[in-house]
This record gives sequence, structure tokens and C-alpha cells, in this order.
Amino acid sequence: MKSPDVIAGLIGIGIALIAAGFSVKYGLGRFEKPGPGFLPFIICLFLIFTNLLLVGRVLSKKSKLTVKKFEMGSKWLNVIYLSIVFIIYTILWDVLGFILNTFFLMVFSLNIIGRDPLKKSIILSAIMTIIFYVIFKRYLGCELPDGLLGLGF
Amino acid sequence: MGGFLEGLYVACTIQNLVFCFIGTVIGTLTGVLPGIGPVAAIALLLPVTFYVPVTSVIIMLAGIYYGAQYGGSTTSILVNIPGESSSVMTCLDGYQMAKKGRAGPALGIAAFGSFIGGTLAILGLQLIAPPLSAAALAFGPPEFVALVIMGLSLVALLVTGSVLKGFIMAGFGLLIGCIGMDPMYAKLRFTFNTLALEDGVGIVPLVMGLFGIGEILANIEEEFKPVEAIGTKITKLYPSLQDWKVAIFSIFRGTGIGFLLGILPGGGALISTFASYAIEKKVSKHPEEFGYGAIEGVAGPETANNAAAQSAFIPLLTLGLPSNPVTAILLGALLIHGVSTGPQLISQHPQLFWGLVASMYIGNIMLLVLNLPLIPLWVMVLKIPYRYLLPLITLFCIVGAYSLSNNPADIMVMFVFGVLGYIFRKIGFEGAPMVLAMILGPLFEKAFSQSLIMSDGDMTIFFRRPVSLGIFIALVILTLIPITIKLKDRMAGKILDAE
Repeated sequence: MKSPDVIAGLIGIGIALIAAGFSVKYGLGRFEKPGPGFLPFIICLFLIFTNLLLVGRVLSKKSKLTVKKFEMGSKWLNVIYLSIVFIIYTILWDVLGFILNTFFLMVFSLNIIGRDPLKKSIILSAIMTIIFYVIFKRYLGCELPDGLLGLGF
Repeated sequence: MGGFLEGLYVACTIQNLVFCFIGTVIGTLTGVLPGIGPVAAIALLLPVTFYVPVTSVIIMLAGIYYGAQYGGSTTSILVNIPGESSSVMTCLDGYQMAKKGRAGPALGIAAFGSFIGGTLAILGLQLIAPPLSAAALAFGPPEFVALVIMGLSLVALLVTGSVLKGFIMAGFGLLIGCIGMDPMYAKLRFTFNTLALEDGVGIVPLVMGLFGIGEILANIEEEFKPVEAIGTKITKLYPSLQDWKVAIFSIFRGTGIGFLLGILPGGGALISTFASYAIEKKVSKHPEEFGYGAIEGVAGPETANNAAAQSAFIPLLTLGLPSNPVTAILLGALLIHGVSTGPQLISQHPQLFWGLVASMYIGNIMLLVLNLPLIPLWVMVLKIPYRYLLPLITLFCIVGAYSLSNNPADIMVMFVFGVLGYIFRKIGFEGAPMVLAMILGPLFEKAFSQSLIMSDGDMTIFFRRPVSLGIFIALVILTLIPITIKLKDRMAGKILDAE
């Protein structure tokens, strides 16, 4: 029961059931004139069927391709840290602006994930951030935000 | 012939030659570097191409795709790590050849084989695409529905892991494709009052998340190991006459295998290398040498993957049907630039089609010239520690996702799919069926609805029209073949056990 495949299958069924409910709400229409919810509803039925099949095969131990365990690497905490930092980065995108926000992300990547000395990380991060800013904002016209502090040129 | 000459004229403009060169260099670089593939590279560069004419864009992006097939062999042979998934079989014999001091001939035969396979495959594309396109003009919505079902089914059937999981991913891809505005009634679906979702989920953030950020997360959970490459001074890059005698038929077989498998949705470069290696070992007079430095084990798969990369353009350019995630992204690029794909592409945009074909010949020549003399440079690039590549790739992903529509929500979408991509890898769900299904979903829905309106709700329309019926029959046959082989093997195993 603890197999990741079972969990994935149950989550899949849950998502499909919710989506099916919304599809009915959007209107199924008729076969002669399918409504906006018609094809999503069929897709949800397909997903419920296939996910049930997945769960069933795992529980009956018939599948050789079942993933029995969620294997993590030795530095799995890096994945958690970076994922959290990504969320914070996106939330602060317009607040801090591209330069400051990206600078902190780069320092984190080099120092915490890459284990580079802090001084070296700061210097490299500053260089990379500025180069990217110049290339993408100045030369390629990308509208990178300056943030509330107005850090941009 | 007139079309091709016009295409040659288009491809030989300074601008297009430069873009072809840029594409092939970036392609080789992404092929050499493990951890970043052509899908991510093309997705990263897509926003940068908005101000460039569409012909130049597609020439460059195509160059990235087939260039990556060349570059992947360098890492496989020198480091025993496949730079590209389609170069995995080259590790088996290529690295062994390098250990025996024959890195040069291995690299040489890989490059020449790729050139020959690529060039012959482009010739095939040139000959087959126009008549196929003309025939496909007679396709209506039911035929398109049948093609998409076949395409998605084959992609799911040909995943390396569980087929059932492949189908599940395709289903979720279709569902994600339903987010946003309905193509028939312009009604908003699954947006949950979020402005960011009203245009649907962007293909670029999704792909960069699944294949870019997902790859990064997978790489950072292990200790970064320094890359040990076999020597930077490689001599005798040109295979000997004896090497050619042994490898030439492998190259021709690899061309045929790659060309045919590249056309199939879900086929492509990866499957063609496995198939080529298996066939070479089977037909070889010395199969015991495979795995210990057999040059046929390098020549066949490397030729096959490049031939497949070229022939994958046939369904894309003639039917508007991408056969793998790379061509799916290219389809996305064409749509972003306002070019509708499908059977009418050649007649409506002949310069684009023939310009692309001609540029592929030129690109293959550039790659042959680039790859061999620049090997020490590629080895230097390989030695850049991953901890410095990681922030660079992340930065490219972020700016690439954002610059598409200057919407920070796209960055969040990318990170969400990045985490999902990481989880999918861990539990054996492949991203390719999801990407293809997501791109084809809206087109499929429109064709499906139109078919039902045409037939007054009669679902048998898909089986009454000869072409769509033929496609479904072909799908059933293609599905039954591997099942039959599996059953035969199982029966043979049971008989052996009984004896």
C-alpha cells in the first residue's frame, strides 16, 4: 500500500474525479453538438480507468515495473531547499526585482548547493546576474522587473 | 527540384547561414553536456527568437536538434556518460574503443556515420514529404483525430518504462491542454478565476520545468563528481580503411532503421539506437566483440540516431503531427510565429519548407567540420564543474519562461512542473507523452468536435472513412506486434522451463 505507484494512482483518480465534476458543470452538450465539458469528461473517465488499473496491478503484485520505493539521493535535502527557494524567488520577483532576487538565488546555488566559498559565490553571482541582465534587458528587450527598490539600468 | 533550388537560395543567405551555424554549435554543446538536452535548449531559446524571421528560427532550432545527436557521441566515447539519451548505446563500445587508444576512430566513425545517415535521411524527407503532404490535404477532422490518437498511443507504447504510465501521462497532458479557453465555444475551463490560466498553461514553462528544472533537481541530490575524460589529445580522427570496411554496412543499416523509426510517433532517436545496436549484434560475424570495442556498435547507433532526428520532421511538416517532444516544441515555435502546420505548410510556406531542407544539408556539413577538430574544446566544456552550470541553466530557464509573456506566473508554472518532473522521474512516469498530448490537445478537441458535428453525433464516422479506418487498423497492428513478440517469448520460456 505504501508503493509510490499506489499513491500516484490514487492522486490521479482524485484529480480526475474533481475535473470530471467541473466538466459536467461546464456542460457536456450532446453527441451531435458536444459542449465545453464533453472532451474533458471523456479524458477524466480514461484517467480514472487507467489509474484504477495502475493501483489494481500494484496491489495484485502483477506488474514488474512497479516502483516499490521513492528512492532519494544522498543529498536529497538540496532538492527541498532549492524547491523552497524557487517559491520564495517567484513570490519576490516583482518586489525585489530581477537583479537583487537573482543575485540571492545564485549565491544560494553556488554556496549552499555547490559548496563554493561565500566570497567566491558572491563575486560569481554578481557577475552572472549583471551579464544576464545586460544581455536580456538591454540587448534582447526582455522586460525584467526593477523591483520596489528600482534596481535597474 | 525548383522548390529545392529556391530553398538552397534561402538557406544560403548570410542570415540563415549564421543561424544554421549558431543552431548546430548550440546543438553540439547541448549534446556534449549531460544534463541539458535539445528540448530544454530549444525551449530556452524560443523567447529570444520573437524578433527573428520564422524561417531563420526554424533553421536554428532544427540545427540544435540534429546537432545534439552529433555532440552526444563525444561524451559517450570519452567519458562513458551519454551526453544525450540517444547516445547511450555508444557508451558500450565507444568508451571501450577509447580505452584501447582508439578514441579517434570511434569519434571519427560516429561523425561520418552521422553525416551519411543524416544526409540520406534528408534526401528521404525531400522525396517523401511533398507527395505525403499532397495526399494529406484530403484529410478531414476525422482523419486528424485518428492520427492524433495513433500518435499519442504510439508515444505511450514506446516509452522505455511502463506503457500504462505512458497512457496516464498522455491523459494528463490532454487534460492540461483543456485549461484555458475552449476552442469551440471560447468558454473558460479549469482556470479557477486565475487570470494567469486564461491563456492556458504555457508550453515553454511546462517543458522547461519538466525537462530543465526537473533535471537540475535530480542532479543536485547526488554528490557532484568531476568528469574524467579520456585524454584531450586525440590522434588519428579518421577511421582506417579496415574500419570503413567493417562499419560501412552498419552505417547503411543504421540509416534505414533510424529513418523508419524516426517517422513513428514515440519512435525517434532513442529507440532507433537501441534497435540498431541489437540488429548489428545479431548480424555481426563476431557478436562476442560487442561491448568490448566493436566499431559497428558505434557506427550503427550513431547513424541511426541522426537519421531519426531528420526523418522526425516528416510527420511534423506534412501532417502537423510532432513525433517527439523536440518536434512538439518546434510545432509550438511555428504556431507562436503564426505558421499553421499541417498538409498545407509546403504549399503555403514553400520557402520555409525548402529552406529548412536545404539548411539541413548545410548543417550536416557544418557539424562534420565542427565536431572532429573541436573535440579538445568540447572536452574542456565537459570539465566545467556542474555546480557552475547549474545556476547558468537555472537562469536561462527563468528568463526563458518569463520573457515569453512577461508574466511571473510562468516562472511559478515552470517551478511547479520542475518539482513534478523530478517526482515523475523518481516514480517512472515519462514527460514526453504529457508534452505531446498537451500540444495536440486543443487541435484534437477541435477536430473531434467538428467530426461529431459533421456526423450528427455518430461516433462511427471515424471507422466509416477509409483513411481514418486505415490509421486505426495500422495502430492495432503496431500495438499487437510487441504484444505478440512478448507472448511468444513467454511461451518459449515456459517450454524451456518444462524441458
